[in-house]
Amino acid sequence: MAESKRYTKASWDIMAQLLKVDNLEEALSGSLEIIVKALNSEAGAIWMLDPKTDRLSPVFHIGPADISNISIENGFGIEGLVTKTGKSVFVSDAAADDRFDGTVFDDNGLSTRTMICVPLNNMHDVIGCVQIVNKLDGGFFDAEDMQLCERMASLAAITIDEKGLIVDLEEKKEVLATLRNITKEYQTGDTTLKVLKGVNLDIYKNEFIVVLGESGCGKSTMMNIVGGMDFLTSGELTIEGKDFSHPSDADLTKYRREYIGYIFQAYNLMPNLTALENVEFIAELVPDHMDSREALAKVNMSQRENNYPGQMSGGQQQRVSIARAIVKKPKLILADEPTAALDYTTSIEVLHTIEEIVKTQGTTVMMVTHNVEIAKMADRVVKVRNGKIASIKKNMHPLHAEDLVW
Amino acid sequence: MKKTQIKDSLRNVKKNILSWISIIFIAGMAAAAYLGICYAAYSMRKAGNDFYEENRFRDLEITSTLLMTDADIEALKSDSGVRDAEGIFFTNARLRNGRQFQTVNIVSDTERVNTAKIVEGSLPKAPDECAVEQSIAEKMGYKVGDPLKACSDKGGIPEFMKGTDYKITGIILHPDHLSTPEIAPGNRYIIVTPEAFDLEKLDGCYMRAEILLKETEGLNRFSPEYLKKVDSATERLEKLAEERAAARTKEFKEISQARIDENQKKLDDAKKEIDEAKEKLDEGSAKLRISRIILDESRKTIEENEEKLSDTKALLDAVKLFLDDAEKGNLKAMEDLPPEQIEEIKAKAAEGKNEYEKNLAQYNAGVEKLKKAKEDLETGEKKYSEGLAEYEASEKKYNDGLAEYEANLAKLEDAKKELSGIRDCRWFIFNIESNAGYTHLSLSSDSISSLSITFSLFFVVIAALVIYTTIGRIVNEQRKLVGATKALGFFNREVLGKYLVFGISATVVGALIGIIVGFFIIQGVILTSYKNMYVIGQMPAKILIGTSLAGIGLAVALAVAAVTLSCMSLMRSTAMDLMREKQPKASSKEGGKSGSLYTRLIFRNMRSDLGRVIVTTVSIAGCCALLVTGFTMRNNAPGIIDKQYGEIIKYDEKLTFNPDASDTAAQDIEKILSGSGAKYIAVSSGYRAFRAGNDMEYTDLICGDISKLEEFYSFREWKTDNTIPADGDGVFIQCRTAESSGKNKGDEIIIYDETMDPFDVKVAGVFNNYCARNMVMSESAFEKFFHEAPKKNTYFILLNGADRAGLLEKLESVEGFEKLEATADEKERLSFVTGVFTKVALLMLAVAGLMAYFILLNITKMYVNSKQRELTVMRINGFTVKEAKNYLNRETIVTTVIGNILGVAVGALMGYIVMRFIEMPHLQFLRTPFLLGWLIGVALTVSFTAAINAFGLRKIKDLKLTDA
Repeated sequence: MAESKRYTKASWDIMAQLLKVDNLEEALSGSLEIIVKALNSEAGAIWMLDPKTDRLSPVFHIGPADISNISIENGFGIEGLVTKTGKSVFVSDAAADDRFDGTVFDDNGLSTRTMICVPLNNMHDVIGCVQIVNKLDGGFFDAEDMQLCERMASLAAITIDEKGLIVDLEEKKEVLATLRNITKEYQTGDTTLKVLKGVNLDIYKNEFIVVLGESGCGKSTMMNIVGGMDFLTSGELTIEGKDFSHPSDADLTKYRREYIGYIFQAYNLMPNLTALENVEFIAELVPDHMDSREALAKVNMSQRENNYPGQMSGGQQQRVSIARAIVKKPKLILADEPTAALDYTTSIEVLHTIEEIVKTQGTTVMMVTHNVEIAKMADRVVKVRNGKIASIKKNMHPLHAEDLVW
Repeated sequence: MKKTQIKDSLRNVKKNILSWISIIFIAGMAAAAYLGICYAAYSMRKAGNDFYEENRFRDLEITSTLLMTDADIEALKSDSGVRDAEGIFFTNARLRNGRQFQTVNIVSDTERVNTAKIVEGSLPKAPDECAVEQSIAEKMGYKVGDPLKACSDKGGIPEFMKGTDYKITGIILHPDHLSTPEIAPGNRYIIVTPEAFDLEKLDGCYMRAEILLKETEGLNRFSPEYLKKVDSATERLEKLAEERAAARTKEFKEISQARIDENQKKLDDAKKEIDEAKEKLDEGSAKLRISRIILDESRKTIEENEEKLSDTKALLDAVKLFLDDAEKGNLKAMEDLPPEQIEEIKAKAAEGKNEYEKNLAQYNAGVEKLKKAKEDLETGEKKYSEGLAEYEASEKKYNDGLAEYEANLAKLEDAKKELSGIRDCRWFIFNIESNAGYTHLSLSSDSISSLSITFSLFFVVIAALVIYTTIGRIVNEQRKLVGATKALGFFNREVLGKYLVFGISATVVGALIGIIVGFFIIQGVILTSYKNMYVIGQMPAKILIGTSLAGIGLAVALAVAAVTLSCMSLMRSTAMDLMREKQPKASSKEGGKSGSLYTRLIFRNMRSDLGRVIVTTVSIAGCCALLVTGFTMRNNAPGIIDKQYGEIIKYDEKLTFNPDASDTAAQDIEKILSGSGAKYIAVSSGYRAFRAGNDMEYTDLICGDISKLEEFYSFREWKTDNTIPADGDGVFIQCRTAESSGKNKGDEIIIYDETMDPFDVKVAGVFNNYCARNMVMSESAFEKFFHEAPKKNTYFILLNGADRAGLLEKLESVEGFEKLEATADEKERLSFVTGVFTKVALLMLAVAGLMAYFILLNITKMYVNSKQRELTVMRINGFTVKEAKNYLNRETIVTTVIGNILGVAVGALMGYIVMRFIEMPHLQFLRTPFLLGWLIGVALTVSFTAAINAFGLRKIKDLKLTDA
């Protein structure tokens, strides 16, 4: 009885989410979150079919496994089978089920025990499927669970049909960094604090990825590990295929020197160097660097090149900080709350600069922020909760910085 | 402060524990150095004073040119300021025990002033008993109960003494000799009863008086108050001295005149007697002469008569024979004669026979007469002989009497001359500073105090700077927090309280640790160093409560001042200002544009954080300066040993003898020296009082042929280093004397002769001399200024391969030989004295090193902390640890270079000042810069900086990049 009440409530929530929210992508990801939560599940994904290629790709997924870059041919695997047949599949025990091949979640850090996969049927076609994986309590899904999923899938499909979701699935992206089952523990006295509890994430080249999460969720720790500023406790980290799971300090320094640019919340410019000198200071680290003046020009700070940080506003300092980050031509720029200390207008200027950098430099930017509005301009939005990836959302239509409002 | 504020303050300490400990350490070091040295100086003075107090060491000592009478002593006692006065007798003597010789002073025992401290046994009670000073007993191997023979230089009874043999009743220490003989050479005492002296010879007069003053009672003899009181008492007693001296002069002259008159009368009487005797002698002589003549004439007459009688007898005998022949007719002539004629002839012959008989009877009467005359002559001759013998005896007696008379007359004339030439009696009042032991301890403790002032001031300044910087840095780090606290309604004083707790607690704990370290370690090392210099042995460690409290007070004041100063800007700023990010001072002109990026960056970093850079530089400079000072001390104190006993004193041995002991002493010694192959030069050497400034001082006045002295004793002119001119017209004084008195070439000083008569002597020049108090004069100058020829009593000897032991054995047999002192022993003594300064220098070096270590560690830590964010950003951007370290090292190099340059300059200056401070009137240290010390100081500072930097910068490797 209690279960059915909970499911009823979840159904209403899903309906409300899908009907009231203007942004369909948010509506779908919100619905997926509701159903994953209602079913006390470990992970979930909404797969959409690209009619042009007849391939399925996950547009939203929740859980510790990053399946963003997975693409499945229609008809193959459980997801393809459901989409192809339009019929729901219920895998009570994956290990004993011949239909289950383990290529999606299991290959990306999540061991599948039980699964529900229901089709997204609009009036005419099957456009994809909704997939829910593993019960958190270790139990198995039942028919009622599947019923809730089917209900949600129906509502979602109708909504998509009504509001029109243009699925423009990109080609498979080239992976820059891969995090697999990353954990990070801190020893404080006798107690061990687990900050990251098994993070799986792929960071692609030339993408703008925003990491959201509440304070203390582990997002900064994750970014620090990606940025080579901290050592992981366990798991596997590869950068461009090279294993950085257990690097030496020298390796990490070299990695940061060659791969990483960093934009700090507090700018952290050298107070005794001018804008230009601050950029030069970092540029000199690598042989193949951008001209420092050019870097400043890219952030529209040429006119202040001789100014010291103390003579510039926060926004200007942050733009110099961006110039400093790009001057090395890094493959990955990490930005830690770069607009947190700035007002709206200045923040937009800074975000615009970052957007331009991604667009023109082909650099990957990974930004940690509390500001969910900024997430709208990201290619992907990773939500971190309690030391794990809570969800990864692919923005089908990222906004421009100028379009953001908060 | 409220409970939570206290909690917050304590947690602030906990959070900055390394800085807190650093301040403790630095404050502790400063306190330990200052207080330890203060304690040591105080303990030395206290121990010395206790010894003096226990033995009622005289405040004043008075000698007189005409000895001192009981009346003088009574007059002194009756002075309102005099607590007690006693007169003493003393004389010089020579001890011999097996092969050990020792020149000593035999001194009469005192009851109340300047009493001997019994170490073993008891003081002498009988005239044939004595007590010996411990140093003599140790050197000569005497024990209580042993016999002791004290002789004059000639081996007889010492002057003014009744005998030579004593029994040792005790081993003593004497307050006149606080220093050991190695430190303050000079005769030590044999104490005897006054009755052991021949008081008749002395007319019951004392040789000196020992005085205890009332106003000095309870005062430490090493305190300025004491000396001030003694000075005023001396001034007062000078008047009494004048009166007593005048009275003594009058009395002495009267007594002398009376003696002269009495002697004159005696002589006159004697003259009269002699004259009478002479008269009688002359009469006798005349009589004798007449008797002689008579006798001679009688003898002559007798001889003539005898001859005549003999002729008569012969004639008579011939006549008789003729007559007999004639009577018998036996004459040949008768043969041819007729018988009548023969008969006639016979008859006439018979008649002739009668005539013959008559003549024969006359002849016989003549013979009888002659016999009688002969007898009379013999009687006369006998009488004459007796008269002559009597005369000759009288004549001898007369001659003796005449000689005695003439001798007495000469003596009387001398006495008259002496009386007419006698100078007015003068008293010489010596205060405690005339005592070598006192002066040594006083100067030593002053040197130590000087060290404490110079070094400690330095430590305190550095400690203050470090506290200021440390607190400043902490406050700066907590700038926003302070702003927030102020915004929450805290008063400035409440905010300040937290940092005051930090600073005061650290400095007070540091001061307390400093007190303990200073008391036990610094003081311990210093007192142990001085232990063997004084007869009282290890001086007990004392603590100065007042000074210690003042030290803690100073530490608190320093902390309050440093904290208040460092928090000043924070206190003046508004809460909002503080909560905003602190921006460096903006200036378009700042930093310039020239040089490489790093050069500009370092320059600007230093300019923007000038306070820290200054403190870092000053701290490095301070450490370097301390090291340079320490090494300068370490070198310049013992450095004089080789100078003094290598470049100046070149002789191997110094022989002293008493030229009055034997007329041939000098020849005998020279014969032995020549025979051994040793080289030598004879000089006159003796202690003379002199007055170059206000005080009377003593010096060893050496007089000899300066042109020949160079080989033995190199007198070099101060500053020019040229050999002093052999014909210098006056006395050459040593550098320290010139400095302390301000006298120089051409000035005049007063030198007293042995009878304390003053002579104005021109200063002929100034020469280099590092230890002892010497003056030198040419023989001609000596004669010119002292109006007498110098009496040679010393030989400077170059052994030149001669066997010292063999030489000594031979020399000991020479009458008048006193001692043979090896330069090596002198050198060892000097080494012992300078060794103390070396130890103190090492102590200072250790403290400086430790302090340098902690200061630099603290500064480096603060520096890294201040640059933590920049370093993190650099590390995040890919700077390697080495590159990040180099970024900081560049500034460290600049501050180290500047600090070392400053440090060497300050250290060289401080080294010079410290050495000048600790110099004593008889001890001058090297004053030349010790370049190697500079280099070592710099090298150590650089090494320290490098090592500490390496240690401090390790943090860069562990920087949490996630904290940016």
